[in-house]
Amino acid sequence: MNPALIQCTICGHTYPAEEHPSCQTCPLAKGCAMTCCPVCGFQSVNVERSYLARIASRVFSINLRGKNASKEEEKN
Amino acid sequence: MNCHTTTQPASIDTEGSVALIGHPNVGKSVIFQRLTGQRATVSNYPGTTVEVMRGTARSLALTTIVDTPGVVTFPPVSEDERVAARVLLQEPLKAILQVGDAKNIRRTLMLTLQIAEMERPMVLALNMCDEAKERGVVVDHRLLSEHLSIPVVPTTAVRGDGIADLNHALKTVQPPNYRLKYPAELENALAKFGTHIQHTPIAARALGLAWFSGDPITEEWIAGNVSGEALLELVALRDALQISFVEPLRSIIQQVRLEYVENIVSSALLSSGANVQSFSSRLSHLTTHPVWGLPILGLVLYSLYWFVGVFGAGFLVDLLEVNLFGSFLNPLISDNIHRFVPIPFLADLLVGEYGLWTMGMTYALALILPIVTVFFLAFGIMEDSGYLPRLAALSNRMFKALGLNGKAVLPMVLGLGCVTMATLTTRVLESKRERMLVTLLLALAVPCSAQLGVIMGMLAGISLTATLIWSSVVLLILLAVGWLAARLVPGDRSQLLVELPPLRWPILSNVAVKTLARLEWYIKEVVPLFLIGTAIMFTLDKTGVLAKLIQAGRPLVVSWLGLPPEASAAFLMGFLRRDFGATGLFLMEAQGLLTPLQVVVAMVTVTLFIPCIASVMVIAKERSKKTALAMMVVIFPLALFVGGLLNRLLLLIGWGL
Repeated sequence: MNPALIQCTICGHTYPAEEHPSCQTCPLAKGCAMTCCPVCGFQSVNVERSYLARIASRVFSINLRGKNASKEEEKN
Repeated sequence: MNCHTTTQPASIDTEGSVALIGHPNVGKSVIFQRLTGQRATVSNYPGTTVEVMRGTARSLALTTIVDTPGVVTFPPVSEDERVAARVLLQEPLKAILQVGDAKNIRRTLMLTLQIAEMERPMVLALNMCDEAKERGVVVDHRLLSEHLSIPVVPTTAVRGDGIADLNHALKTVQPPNYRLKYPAELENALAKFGTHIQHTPIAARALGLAWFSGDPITEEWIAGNVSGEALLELVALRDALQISFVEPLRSIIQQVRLEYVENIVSSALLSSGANVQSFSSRLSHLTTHPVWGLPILGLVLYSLYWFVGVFGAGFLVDLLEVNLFGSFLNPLISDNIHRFVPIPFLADLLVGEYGLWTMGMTYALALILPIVTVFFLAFGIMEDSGYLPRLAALSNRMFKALGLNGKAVLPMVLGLGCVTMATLTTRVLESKRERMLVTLLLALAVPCSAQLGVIMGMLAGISLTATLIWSSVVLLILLAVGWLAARLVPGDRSQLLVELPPLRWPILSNVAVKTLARLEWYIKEVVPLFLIGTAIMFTLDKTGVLAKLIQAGRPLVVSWLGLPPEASAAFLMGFLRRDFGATGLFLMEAQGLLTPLQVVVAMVTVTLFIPCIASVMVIAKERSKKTALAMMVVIFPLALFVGGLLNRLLLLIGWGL
């Protein structure tokens, strides 16, 4: 599966969520939904790893698709 | 200056790629994620170390979206720009999607003209329209579209606005059909250039302009695609053309483009916003100001204190702990356990004083969960609004006195989320000295989110003065230890590079997703640990060891810190997790067992106390076991010493008795 991308809130670096090696040494990594930016270390949410966040983002993206679809229909 | 040609519009084929091109920080990556659904393969562009992302478009059949590195200038100078130029010149593109900053329309259009001259199907996404609007920049995108003969789509990618229109435009995109008129000598040279070049990947005219501008990527392509004799003729053509002008050819070409851009801007830019400095940009400036930034920080911290301490730890905890757990759930479960579990030992393990439900689950769900929920919500708002990077920039100045500026500030700020993870992030620091100093300060004086929430809740129940005493003492210790350690361990400092995004209203969906992810992680981590901690306390209690430990801790806890003997149990729990210990003290305060003075002393001591077991493990792993042990040897007596000293000082002035 291709990696999800995360843009760091602090330094703006975009990186694949699973890339950072810190997770491998972290004792809290199991079940952790966070990921650390390889450039500045800031912790961002890795939506793919969180069940709740996945559901929430799906709910929001369904709404978004709904809006966009109606816009396209209007255009046509 | 321009004339429209009569190129027949042709629909693009269904296979190939769409390249995203644009200046740095115009939101290309966000548009890429919107178009591909956050899925991508990342690989180095062949022959380079520059990463290029590719992903499958969600709404365009058989289309790959290629996200190129940001371009500052064309002809390219950096390796990143060369890769972007190579993608344009060498990839089988079916369309180009330029992402431009709506706030900086001139710079955007200069790049648009260069890309449009390639005569490939292209769309211009005028991104960050929300910020442009805030700054009073108004662009007539329809007029712009007419001038350029390409679709111009206003977007605010972070909100997903305009993405549907972008997808629609990409489905029906056509090559632009306008042509700039350059000086006659240059036009003649372009015509001659065309006779030497066959089967060009982009319009021969655009290739010619790039050749005359001295573009190294074009030179590289031409050298590999024409005969040696033709190459010599092209070089001679360029040299001869240069003789006709005083200025370099590149400047002549840019001048024509610039004039055309000014021409378009004069009609399509309805308002430049030059006289309008938006509230957000003024506020943004103030947040990092060395003087004005501090009262703003104070206001943010006060809001955090009110939201987390008063609302979360006061109102919400009261609702859950007193009303739901205390009055309903716990009596119900306790009654049923006692009725259906005939073995008193087992019943005690479940619902006794140190019961898995009455202590472990009640602490985790009724006390900590509401507090961390509001804290994570507040943290998410600070993050999404763009305040957090500003806090890092402001702290950078403040921490200079410690010898801890630059990147070292970030883990300190991040420690407010989770000290364990912040300790791991110290590996981004370049020098060993900084890694050591920050790890020590994190372990000593930076409370994690859960602990901070509980502390705020306890202090909010007393007064603002109590909060100010606690924060002043902790900050003083942080500064003193940092200052001392920085002088004992000399060395270089690494620079902090923070990208300040615009200050904006947080987006509800972003904050909700982040808060839920953090909560899920917290519950997964905290519930098992709280249950283990409770089981340990239960065992210590049943074996009589707890009573002996409380008795042994009496001189320190009662005589030195001035706390009730039961507080020893809370400090014992603090060895497992600092918030576990703080919650024990929280409950003691709720039961009226602590005076305001004792609360402040206990909170200062528990904040400076040994970090949780996970943090100690990370310190041992990241630094060394010896370092971890040395740190604990320093931290443990220091926390008790400061707590006791504060107790005596407050007793002396008669505060909080």
